[in-house]
Amino acid sequence: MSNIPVSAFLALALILFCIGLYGALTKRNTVIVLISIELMLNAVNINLVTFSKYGPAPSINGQVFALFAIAVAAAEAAVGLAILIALYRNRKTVNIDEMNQLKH
Amino acid sequence: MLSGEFIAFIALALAAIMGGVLLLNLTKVVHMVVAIVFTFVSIAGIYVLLSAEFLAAVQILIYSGAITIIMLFGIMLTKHNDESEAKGIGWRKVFMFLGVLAFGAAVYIGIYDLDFASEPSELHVKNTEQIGLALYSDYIIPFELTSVVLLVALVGAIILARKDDGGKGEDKK
Amino acid sequence: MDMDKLLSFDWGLMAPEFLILGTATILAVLDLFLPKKINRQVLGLFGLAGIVAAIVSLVFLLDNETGSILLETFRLDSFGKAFKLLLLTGAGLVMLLAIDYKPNEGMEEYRGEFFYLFLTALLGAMMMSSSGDLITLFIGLELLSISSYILAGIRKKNTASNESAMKYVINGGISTAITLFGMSYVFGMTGSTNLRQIAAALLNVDDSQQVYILGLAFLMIFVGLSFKLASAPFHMWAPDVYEGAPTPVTAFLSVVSKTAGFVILIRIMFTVFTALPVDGEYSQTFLFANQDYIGFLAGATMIIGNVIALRQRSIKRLFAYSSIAHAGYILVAFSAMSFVMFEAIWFYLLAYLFMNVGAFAIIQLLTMKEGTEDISHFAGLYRRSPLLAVAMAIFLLSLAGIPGTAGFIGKIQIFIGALMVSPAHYVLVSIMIATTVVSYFYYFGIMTQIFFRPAAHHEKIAIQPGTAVAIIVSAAATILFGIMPQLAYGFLESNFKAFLDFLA
Repeated sequence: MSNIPVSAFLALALILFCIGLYGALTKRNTVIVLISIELMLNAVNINLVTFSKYGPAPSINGQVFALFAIAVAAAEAAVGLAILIALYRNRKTVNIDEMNQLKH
Repeated sequence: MLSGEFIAFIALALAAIMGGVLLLNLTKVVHMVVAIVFTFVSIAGIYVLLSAEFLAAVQILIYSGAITIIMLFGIMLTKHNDESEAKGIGWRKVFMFLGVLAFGAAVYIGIYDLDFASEPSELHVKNTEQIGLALYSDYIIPFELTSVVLLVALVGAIILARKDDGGKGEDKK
Repeated sequence: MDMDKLLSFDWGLMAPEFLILGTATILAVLDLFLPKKINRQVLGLFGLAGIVAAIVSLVFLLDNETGSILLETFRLDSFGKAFKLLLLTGAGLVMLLAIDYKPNEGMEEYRGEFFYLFLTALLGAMMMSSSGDLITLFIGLELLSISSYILAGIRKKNTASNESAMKYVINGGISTAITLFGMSYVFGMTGSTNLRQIAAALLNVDDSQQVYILGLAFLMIFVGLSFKLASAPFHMWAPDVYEGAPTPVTAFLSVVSKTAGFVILIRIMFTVFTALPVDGEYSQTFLFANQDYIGFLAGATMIIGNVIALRQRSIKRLFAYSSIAHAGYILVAFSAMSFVMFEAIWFYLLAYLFMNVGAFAIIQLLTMKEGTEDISHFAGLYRRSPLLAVAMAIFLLSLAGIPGTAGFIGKIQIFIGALMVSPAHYVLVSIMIATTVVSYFYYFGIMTQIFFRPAAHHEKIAIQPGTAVAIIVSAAATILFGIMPQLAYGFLESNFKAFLDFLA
């Protein structure tokens, strides 16, 4: 029996998600933005694993879902960084607010 | 009553949130990445509390290991020791902060006393075996599809990040 | 799971997917081992052959009963079949454009990758249209997204392409995380990843707090998926990405990717949230109670798309806003939720597919040489190439929704759908009419350039064979479905039986 309420885990996930969202929306450095997105995905995984144990119908499926989410997150991070490096070669900047060539 | 489990949860949760807050407030990019490692490792601890030992191991390997390292590579290959953030608080940041706060509050209202009177499950017994059975029976189609995702990411990362002036400088990532 | 059990499933249902996957794999291997001097356009033709084969195999599957494999992680129902046909046709036409795409700088080395990434993206989209499981839907979505990120940035020496890919990844990552956060709550309240089990579990939800969380989850999933649709509130990326990406990729994003977005939206929303009762009362389900919010977003999307399109100088940016506006029109059909909704959305996406791909084919022809995308390139097109000018006029008229074209029929169908439900959506319909009138300004602006402005130079335009085929097919289909829409509706009626097996 556990004495940690479900809502504590969910609240932790929510806080991390909000931190990630705020970071992704406001940070200038693209690497940090990508990390913030990873943090959001991590928060999702905490949710999934929590529901996997304490949900209305506990099953292993939540952990499997989290596993898939991790794999996809890693792929996304790799592609994001590759694009960043290609961009840096041409523009010598990693700051989002300097990526303003496409604007009218 | 304070059980060991509860203390562990509080400590891990505090470390995770601390890492996140430091991510937002530090100025040097490399420091931010180090801060986020704290969060990733604490989340692995949280997984152990939630009887997901296998995921905890994966979390350490993938996030604290692989993703942090490629992020560091990303920083080193671009502008290291960059003092990232602009000074001052813009209106945009305040606006975003309030927006995210409102979102958080709205969700928090929904979850703060959520409780499912469910049976404690046996997820920690042969955890890896259970995941393996689910993955290779019910979820074989998404599993195979994930291999295509990873292949695409591999190809994409190579063609986008490699230097091809002169044709021999291959810095595959 | 042993071999016998594995073989006992009806894997034939997945034949189109296997064909696309096989073609992509063979292309990847060929690209790796073929000597450098062999022209990679051959690979494009091979990819096109793969898509055609997949269409043929899908046509053979049309008569099949609704079937599923492994707890519905793969599910072939009439909804999946109908929309997969659209995806495959769209991808085939885009492939024709891709074969002829020759930009001024930096693509030669990556021709092979260019082709098979289209195929993997298509594979993701197809999985999204025929799965009844959250995990598979999510993986399909990500396969489409990640392939598109790479495609957008594949001209890696071009700064515009880099920048558009970077913005695409960042916006896409945030939207993925938001969608997934919503999905995690849906999973949490029901304990299942299977859409129909989720729906069954939701029937028993009577706790108002759980309904509240599911409402938030609905909102998060909708907001996250609006990224794929390029509709409000996640439309900001579209103009930048459309402008910076290579033209075939832009066509792909505006046609195939958008169709896939609507497919997954309908699949999740209609399977999961129609079952959820509001406040424990069964008279009204959750989705219907929230029509107004979707309607609001649809209205905002139409207004934003059409109004900002008015002051664009770059043709690709203009089409980005136009595609945002069209997403808004389709959302009107979605929010009306009449019983012809599936037909209306399917037909509109069909019409949109042909008119948009055709227009992008001509845009590609005109802008490839010049290097810029200013609207003035269209000046005097009628003098330089009357046939192209007429074809472009057909596409523009159809996009604007003038009678006699497929776009008109699609719009009428959406109007009727929105007015036949009670209470009728008068506000949405009037916004749609008003914004359609606004759209005449920019579509006819291009027409004026084509027919009445003098050309800067009188150089003949050479049309490559692939592009020519794409333009002819698109123009013919746009006119055909405009004059005889009963062809498409008859096809729907006879093969898909009003999509009754969607929830069964």
